[in-house]
Amino acid sequence: MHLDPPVHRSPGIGLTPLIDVVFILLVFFMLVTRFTTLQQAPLPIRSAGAAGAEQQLTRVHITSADEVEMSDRTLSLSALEGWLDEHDPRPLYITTADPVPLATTIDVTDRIRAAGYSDVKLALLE
Amino acid sequence: MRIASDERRRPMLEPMLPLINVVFLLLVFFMVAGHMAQQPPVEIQTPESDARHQPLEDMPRLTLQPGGELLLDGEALSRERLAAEGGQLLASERPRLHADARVSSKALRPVLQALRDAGFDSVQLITLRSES
Repeated sequence: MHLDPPVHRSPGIGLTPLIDVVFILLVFFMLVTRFTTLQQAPLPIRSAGAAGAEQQLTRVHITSADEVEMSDRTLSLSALEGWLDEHDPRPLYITTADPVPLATTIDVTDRIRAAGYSDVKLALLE
Repeated sequence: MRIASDERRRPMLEPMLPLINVVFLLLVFFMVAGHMAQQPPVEIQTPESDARHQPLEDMPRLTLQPGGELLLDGEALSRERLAAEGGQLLASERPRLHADARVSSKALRPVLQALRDAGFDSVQLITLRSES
């Protein structure tokens, strides 16, 4: 009887456990990874008691999501940007009407800062 | 007699190789492109901002829900206590506030006033960097 000589194969490392671990890692990273970036925006606060000193400053009163009041004039947000571009940056403070959501306050603050106005405060006045 | 070689009984690894390669690439992509972040204790709709500010490293401890409920580390905190003990509770020069985008000024204003009463003249509002 003639038998083929046995094939001696070097014991290799099984890939199956490695693949299992990689799959688990992949699922883990897919679940916990976030691609959005949270940031912290500084916003100085002026209390209501400082209103007397703020009379010297320019006031931007947010009345709704797309309108503000300045010096008794009602402006749209695009008109506000035009006004900001026409004037030199100066200290100003923001007040908001009661129903105005925080998203609108941040939006208006961003527009004012983007126009070069760095000294912007949120006053705790209605 | 000829004994068959066990070659035919070997697992067919070759067809799996492209899948394994893709899985490795996906793993590397998620590890490199994303970042892990803690989740807030409650569901908060973070307001978006076009401006670029300092990236947030740790989740803030103060949370303001849409209805105006204030939380410290996930537990209710009264505005009176924040005003009285805010300096000790937060131990930070600029407290970070994770407020919901829908929270009204009427609800936000007393919280900011309490922070002001606690000695803080500035707050760090948590915003979501919009990519537009």
